[in-house]
Amino acid sequence: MQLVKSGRRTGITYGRVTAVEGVARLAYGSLQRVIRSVITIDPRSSFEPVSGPGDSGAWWLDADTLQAAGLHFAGSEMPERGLALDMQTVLDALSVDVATERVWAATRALTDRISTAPLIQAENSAELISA
Amino acid sequence: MNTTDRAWWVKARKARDKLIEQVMGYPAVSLVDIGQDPEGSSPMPVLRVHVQVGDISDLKIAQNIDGIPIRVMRGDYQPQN
Repeated sequence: MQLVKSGRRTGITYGRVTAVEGVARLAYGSLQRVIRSVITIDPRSSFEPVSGPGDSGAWWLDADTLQAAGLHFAGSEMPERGLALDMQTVLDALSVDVATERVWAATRALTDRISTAPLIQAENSAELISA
Repeated sequence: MNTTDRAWWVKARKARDKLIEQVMGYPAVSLVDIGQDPEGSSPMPVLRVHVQVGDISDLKIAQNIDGIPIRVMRGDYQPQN
């Protein structure tokens, strides 16, 4: 399965799920944590970034359906690889569901605003110049 | 990852849990998962033990558990917060 995410550090990147149901041990400062329900994500091709520090919290989406597949939390640089929590496990732990239609509507509204923003700015700039 | 054989997955999860009991005591082990064979020789998913860089000579791992192959691969994972 091919995934896509938008992270604070590396922006939009793609990956492919190469393993599931992992159990990871990570150090958070001096604390060792065992984390279950881990999805392992490799780059689609060599030298393609997957993730970086600051990307935790990004959602990995199925690249075809845009359904949420995982929540990013860790990664490795050598080799390039990302780790995410299985999204269903996250939703169960938080007792929440993804309201897909509302998210889609909100995204659409935001996209519409962004797409008109440059035009508004250009008109204002033209007014400033002519003034 | 194209197997949909439920019985195989039940067996794989049990084997993974056995493997975790064996190897998670080693500080170099960072992740155990069920996935694609990094060597490309197994058509079915394998058990994968990810280890950090360093001396792993004292890490003794069988070639398989309950018939499911085990692979050791590099993986030094850090939280990316």
